[in-house]
Formats: sequence, C-alpha cells, structure tokens
Amino acid sequence: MITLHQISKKYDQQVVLDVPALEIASGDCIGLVGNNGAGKTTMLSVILDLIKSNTGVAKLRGVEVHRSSEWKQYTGAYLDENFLITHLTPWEYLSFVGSLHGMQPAAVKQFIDSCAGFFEEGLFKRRKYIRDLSTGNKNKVGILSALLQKPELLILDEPFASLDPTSQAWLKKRLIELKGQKVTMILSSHDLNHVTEVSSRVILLEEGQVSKDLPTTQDTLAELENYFMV
Amino acid sequence: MLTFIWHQLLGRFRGVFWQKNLVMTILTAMMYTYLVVMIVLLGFFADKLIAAILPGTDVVAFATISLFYYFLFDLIVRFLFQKTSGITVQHYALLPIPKSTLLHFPLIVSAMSLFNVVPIIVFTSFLFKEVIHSASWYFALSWWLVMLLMTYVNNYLNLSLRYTFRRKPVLVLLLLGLPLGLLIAEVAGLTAGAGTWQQLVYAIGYYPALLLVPFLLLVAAYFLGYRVMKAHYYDDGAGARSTKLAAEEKEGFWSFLHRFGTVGRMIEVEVKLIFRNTRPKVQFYMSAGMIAYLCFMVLGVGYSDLSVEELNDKNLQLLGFSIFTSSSIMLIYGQFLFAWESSYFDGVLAHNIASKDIITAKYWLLTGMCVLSSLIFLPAFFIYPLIVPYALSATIFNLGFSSFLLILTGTFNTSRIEANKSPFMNYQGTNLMQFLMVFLIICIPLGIYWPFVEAGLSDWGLIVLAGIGVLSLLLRNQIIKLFIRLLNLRKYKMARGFRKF
Repeated sequence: MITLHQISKKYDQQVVLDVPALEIASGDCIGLVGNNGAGKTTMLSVILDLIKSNTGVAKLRGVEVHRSSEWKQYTGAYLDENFLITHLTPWEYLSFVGSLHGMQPAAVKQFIDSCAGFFEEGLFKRRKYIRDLSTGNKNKVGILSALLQKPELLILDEPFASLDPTSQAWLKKRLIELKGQKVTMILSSHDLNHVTEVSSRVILLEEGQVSKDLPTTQDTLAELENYFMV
Repeated sequence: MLTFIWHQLLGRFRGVFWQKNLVMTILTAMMYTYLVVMIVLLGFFADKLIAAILPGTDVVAFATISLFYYFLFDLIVRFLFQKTSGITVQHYALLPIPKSTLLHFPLIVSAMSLFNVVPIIVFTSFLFKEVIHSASWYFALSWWLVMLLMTYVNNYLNLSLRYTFRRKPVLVLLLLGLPLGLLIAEVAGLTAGAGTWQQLVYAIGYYPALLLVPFLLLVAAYFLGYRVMKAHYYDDGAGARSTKLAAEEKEGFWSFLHRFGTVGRMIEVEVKLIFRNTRPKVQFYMSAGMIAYLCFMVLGVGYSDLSVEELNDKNLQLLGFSIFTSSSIMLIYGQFLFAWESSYFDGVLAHNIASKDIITAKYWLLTGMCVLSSLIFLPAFFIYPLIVPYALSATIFNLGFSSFLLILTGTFNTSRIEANKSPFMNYQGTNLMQFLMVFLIICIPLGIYWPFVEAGLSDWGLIVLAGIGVLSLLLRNQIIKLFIRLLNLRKYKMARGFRKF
C-alpha cells in the first residue's frame, strides 16, 4: 500500500527524515512512535504530499503521490488544525468534506449519528465556528472528517491528544474495528499504551531514522517503555 | 496599568511583520506619515471644503450639524468594524492582579483605537484652523471637548453593544436601529435632532459648566462598558448562537453553488471566509465603498466642470480610473488570493480536491468580484455616458487578463495571514509582491493603451484591450491548465510559508 524509497528531508542542512526503504502492506496498522522532533509528522506529511522530500519517492498503491492525486479518493487524514476550515461550523465542515467524496448531507448526518459517544451532543447542534471550539473538540472534528469517507488508508497524527477519556475509549474501539476491516492505518502517538493496543506493527523513529520496526506483541509495550526510559 | 499598556505596545512592535522586512517597515512608516498628514489636512481644509460645497454658509455651524449625523453613523460603523476582542487579558488572569484592574485595562486601551485617534486629529486641526477664529477661546475649547467626549462615548457604547450582542443579538440590533432610524428621520426632515444638537453644543460653548452633560455621558458609557465586561468576564461562548440541530437547518443562501460540484463548494467556503473573518470582510466593504467614492470624487467633482472635448483629452486618466474601479474588489482580495486560506491550506492539499478545482474556483470568484465592481460602477454609465467604452473595455480586460494575473502572482505569495485579525494597522502577509501586483494590474493595460493614444487611435486602444480580455477568456481552459502545473510546483513552498506564524 505504502512505499517509501530513499526518502530524505533536510531543513537548513539538518536532516529531519532519512528513510532508505519502508514498505507498509495493505491492512497493516502502524503505530508510529518517537520523541518530539523524531520526524513522525514529517514522514506523514511526505506520504500526504504536503512536503516534498529532497530525495526519494513516496508511493501509494505503486503511484508516486506527487504525480497523481488519485490517492486522495481513498485516504482519510488528520494531522493538525491546519486541516480545519475554522470559519465553518463543524456541520458545515463535515458536509463540505463529505461532498468532496460525493456524500449527500443525509449520509453525513447518518455518519455523525453513528459516531455518537465520541463528541458531546452540542457539538453539531450549536452554530459555533470551529475556531471557537476547544482544542479537544477541534481534534474530534478533524478525526471525524478523516473517518467520514470510509477510507482505505487512514493517517492520524496524535489522535488521542487532548481527547477526554470517553472519546479516547470510543476512538480506540473504532480504530480496532477498522483494523478488523483491513483498513491500512498509520497512527502517530506519544501514548505507548494506545499505540500498542491498536497497532499490529510499531515503527520507532529517532532523529529522522527508523530505529525499530517490530510487530506488536505482548512484550512490545515493555520494550518501548524500556527504550524511552531515561 | 502602564505595564499592561507597555506590553500591548511591545506586542504590536515585536510582531513578526516588523522584524521580518526592513523595506516594508520603511514603506509602512512612510505610509503612516502620509496618512497622518492627510488626516491633519482634512481637518485643516474642512472649512474650504464646506465653503466650496455650500458657499456663504457658517462653516462652524455647518460642521457642528454635520457632526450630529457623523456620531450616529460612527456608532453603526464602529459596531460593524471596530474590534474589541483583540484586547487580551487572559495572560494576566492568573497573576496576583485585581480583577477590576484587568477589566479597566481593555477599556483604557480601546481609547487608543484608530476610530478615536483619527477623528480627534481632524477635530483638533479644524479647531485651530476655524473654530478658534470664529468665537471666543473658551467656546472653541468647549466645542472641541464636546466632540472629544462624544467620540469616547461612542467608543464605550460600542464596546457594550458588541459584548451584549453575543448573548442578546436582537436587543442590540434594535438598539442599533435607533441611530439608524434617527439618521433616516433626520434626513427625511421628520425630526430636528441636528438642530437641537447644535443648540446644545453652542449652549455648552457659552456656558462651559454645561460640559458636565457630555462628561457625565462619558462616565456613564465607560461604567456601562465596565459592567458589561464584568458580566462577560467568564464568558466561554457557551450558549452563543445555540439553535436547533445544525444539520436540520435550511441550506444557506450560498447553497445554490452546490450544483457546481467541488468548484461551487470551494467558492462557497471562500465567500464564507470573506464574510466570517474581520480582515477580508472589512477590506471587501471598503473596496466596494471606494468604488462609489471614486465615482463621486472623480466623475462628480473632479470632471464635473469639464466639457466633452476636454474629457476626450483625458483618455489615459479615464482608462486608469475604469481599470482601478472595475478591478478594485478583486484586486484588494486577490492580493492575498491563496494566503487567505493559509490556516487550512494543508487541508485543501490533503483532501480530495483536484488542483484544477482549486484554480477554477479562484478564477470564478475573482471574475464574480470583477462583475460586482462593475455593477457598483454601473450608475455612472447613465450619468456620464462618456465613460461607458472605457469601463466596458477595462471590465473585459480585467475579467480575462487581470484575474489570471492575480492567480499567477497569488502563487508567489507565501506569507501566512490570520484572516480574523483586524485589518487596521495590520500588515501581516504584506510584502513587495503586493506592490508589484497593483503596479502590474494598473500599468499593463495603460502601457498597452498609451501608444494608441499617442497615435491618435485611442478607440482602437480600447478595442485592443477588450480583445486581449476576450482572447484570455477564450483561452481560459489552456491558461487554467498552465496554472495547475504552476500550483503543483509551488504548493510545497506555499504550504510551508502558510504554516509559519
């Protein structure tokens, strides 16, 4: 599903990402971990064609992402607030994103109803612009927009950050369901518990390089905790 | 309190813009100086203006009566454009500072707003030029103080109105209807508020003790503002605009755009961007107002005494005027064409939106703005038929050529803009590209037209300009294809720039 080949990205002579080769198979659920500045968001941005790497290519289903935008039809992603059109209400935004995938408002409403439990009831009732929402609620709107189109590839950066415990539990359950449906996922997170619970494979980045790439087992959490221990 | 004000000033002068670009800082400083000089001159030569419009009138009396309408209008304009929420005290909320001090701070800082400073400069220069010579010094001083106090009464009334609007919009709209209603009633001659106002101002001039009246009004307006702010101190926005399930609401006015697919949806999002964010909204209204103003000033005042033969000699001026008026709205908005979307540009790139749809949406939005400019300009057609060929030629040229030029230059603008910040004294995102853009939009058509004028073939010049516009329109799809390639090349640089604060 995803191929990274000889990818490197530099900012002012500092290498922030250096991945000679990485393959992610269809249906894989990747937990992307690493300290701040390890290159997680850069890697996700390269895959989503938001950043052009200095060398190498990123391919989705064998097609270089910068050559065709076909991948956008089956990819749902939310990295940060820069994805949100903040002068729209949450309903207007989801309706807009839905329309990009040919969804009628009724289908969007049905999707929102199916996600009850992830957000407080008022989120889609109040005519409040996204810019006026709390960080957690903005995050929820962004995650919902990524899930809305029933993606075959789902990319989320720090999805559990700023979420309340109920929403975290809901999201974890939904992600495990999607894993069961063989949706390819890359979830970057600092929360090792969540990552190991959801993912089938963990990729650990350090200073832009893949320092560990291991299948998730019962020992993975302990191994990661041990790795990050000061 | 002085520390707060100092922090406020530091915040302004340590803004990213000021430290980033020395050339722009110098240019902006020059522009400020020019503006201040113009404002002073406006007050200084107000008597000449009044005398020119109404010869033989008592200038001070006329100015005083006019100021009655001004203050009513000012309150409405302030409500629409003067921003109050930019004043932040949250950073200080946890420090050991009394809450009352925190609440007085935004009230005091708001006194430095341009909405107050500009009229005060005008009043002061008019005071020294005219009022002081027309009566005793204490009359002049009282006159000036009344205007000063009333400016601040409006300032604090507006603050109360804007905060109250969040919870009781209907009440505030009704309250705002009062000055508007009074304004209409006065113009229609149903009431005589302006005359009463003039008598009151003159009475204060002769009996300075009466100054207590506007002073008490100001104190009342200030403490009303204080009370309203205190009531909204913990305002978290809860309950604001709470209505029925948004999904079940009727589709908005712009929903007719949905039938045009993704392009229509993109245009809808951008139209909402304009009307829901302070900076583009104010700039939109100002550019629309500027067209009407220019029509009045240039055609109504500047050219009113010229004969048809004399006007015919002013081909270049008439074309320049037509180019500027018909491109005004799209030029003011289009100077930041992609940058307006900097807060969600990553989303635009990552979502299922084809580059073709992005460019096409921009193109139709700009052409829509050009048509709107021409519609505002339209009444001038009937009053000054001579302008029609110039305006038509300029509009067709702008529709076909300038709209694409704006898209081209827009892809080279990579500075982030926070659209919801106030536009006044806000130069975020401004760089030399904007000056170049305005220069090209105005000078290219004039440069094409000029040789024809010199050769005595000015009509042919207009035809050629319109022809270039028509040709660009006919080649629209090919030009859009070129811009898609350009956007695909430039998007990484643009996105990187838009992410930077």
